[in-house]
Amino acid sequence: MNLTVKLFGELQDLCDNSSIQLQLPAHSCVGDLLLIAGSQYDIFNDRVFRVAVNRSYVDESHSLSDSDEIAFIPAVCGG
Amino acid sequence: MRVSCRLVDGPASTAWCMSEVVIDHSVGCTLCFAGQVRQNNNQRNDVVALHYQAYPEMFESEIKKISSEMSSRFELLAIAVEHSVGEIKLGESAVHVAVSAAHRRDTFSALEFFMVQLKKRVPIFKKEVYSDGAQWLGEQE
Repeated sequence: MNLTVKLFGELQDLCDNSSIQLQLPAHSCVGDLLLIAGSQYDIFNDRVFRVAVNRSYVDESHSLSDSDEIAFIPAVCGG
Repeated sequence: MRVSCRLVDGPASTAWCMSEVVIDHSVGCTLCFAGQVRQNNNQRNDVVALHYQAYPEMFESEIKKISSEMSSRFELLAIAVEHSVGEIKLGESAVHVAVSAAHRRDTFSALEFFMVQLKKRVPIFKKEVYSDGAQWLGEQE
């Protein structure tokens, strides 16, 4: 499946883009997504961030599908 | 509990939040918090501005989740949140949060609860701008 990952803050600056496209096998989970992202972009291996799917924070075991809205969320700092 | 939230390009202001939480004549108390840009922060004293970015769709959904948790903990009638995006200069407000209730007792605790959760969960990202550069900030208390 072809997934779009939204990027914010420092991650957006480092990738020089507001999103990235990643190809994953069907039935992949967030852990798989992180491995693929890290293999294609070094910055994801040494930065701390959370993953949101369909606007909720999820852990690495969360299953993904084609239609998911995915975002890598670096440190939040509102206020 | 009524929940209102919005992102604004530029400084936040009190008026909209207050108008959103005074919902009817059952309101006996309103409390409003404002967060301003200060010069000394993050171990530097030459901050000239803050640059905010948000994930707008999740900003709204996360605030609704926090508000839902608040409604089971506190006796509130409404909450309104206005947060800035873009560049905010020294002394300008980046966030305003107002809550209303029949009585004042729960409003102070509720506002503090909300601000703690905002800083932990709501996807807003902050870059400090200095006289000689800028950097994205990590999570703060």
